[in-house]
Amino acid sequence: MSDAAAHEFQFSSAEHRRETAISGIWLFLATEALFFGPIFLSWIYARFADPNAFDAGGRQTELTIGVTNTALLIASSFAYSVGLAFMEFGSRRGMVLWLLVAWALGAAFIGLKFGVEWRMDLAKGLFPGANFSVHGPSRNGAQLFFAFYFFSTALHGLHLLVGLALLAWIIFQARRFTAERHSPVRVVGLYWTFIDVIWLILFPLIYLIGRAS
Amino acid sequence: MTAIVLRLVAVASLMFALLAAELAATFAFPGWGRGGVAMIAAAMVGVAAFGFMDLRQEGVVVWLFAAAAVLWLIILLGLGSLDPLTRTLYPTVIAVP
Repeated sequence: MSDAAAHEFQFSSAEHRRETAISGIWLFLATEALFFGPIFLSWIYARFADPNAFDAGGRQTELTIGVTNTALLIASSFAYSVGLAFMEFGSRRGMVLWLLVAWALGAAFIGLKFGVEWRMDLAKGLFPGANFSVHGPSRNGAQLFFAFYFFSTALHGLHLLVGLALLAWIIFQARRFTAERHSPVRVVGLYWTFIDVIWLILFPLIYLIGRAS
Repeated sequence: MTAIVLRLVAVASLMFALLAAELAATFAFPGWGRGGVAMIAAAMVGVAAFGFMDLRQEGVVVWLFAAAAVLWLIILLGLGSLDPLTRTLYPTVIAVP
């Protein structure tokens, strides 16, 4: 395939098209970072209003599931990166296999977070409101913590669901990609790892800071 | 190909080691405190950005976008936290008899 045939008319070369796609997704990720920024700021405000009560809420979370989910996302980013490397070396079959692994790990995260952990949290009466189960002087701070917890994990989960849909699309469209032409695989990979990065910030805010001395 | 996969294995191993360090800073070494946990979390973000997202191989425009995101976040979180981090007196609710 000639260079002219390998790119659309608005690009001067295939490399120009690749650079534009990568720059575009990084600009989008920059806006996403700003989207999550105020959520992190709300954590700072809510915690410093009453640190002891806020941390008491944090200690109610399921640490084992939090650690497992962090490991799942790290492994998922690793699997996606290996899949991308396979594509760059021309092995479409290897890419599909590793992307399936990445998808399964992401789906396991969703299943653990919303199918197991949220269910346990709700059963323990940790959803903020009249039936909130923490009583005493920590009640208000703990409710603030769980408002942050449910909102931030729901928003992160929504991003992960979008990522799973994109990953499934890449897997189903795998035959379109070649070693020379696979910008969508790279673009989705950047988004996928960015979801991991957001979780790497949420994980200590939710599970560790309240337990650290 | 093998070299790339080995590099990715090294990056993933480092991430898991940092996760273990985060847990150690929380439970085994209380002296590290919350600051230690925050620094390790920041290191994990950096490893993911450079190791999995290949930031170091990208051009000027990508670096500009990434740097702008970090700068905006520093301004947002830095100026936004000035009040909660420096305030010593909080209004209290006075119970009405």
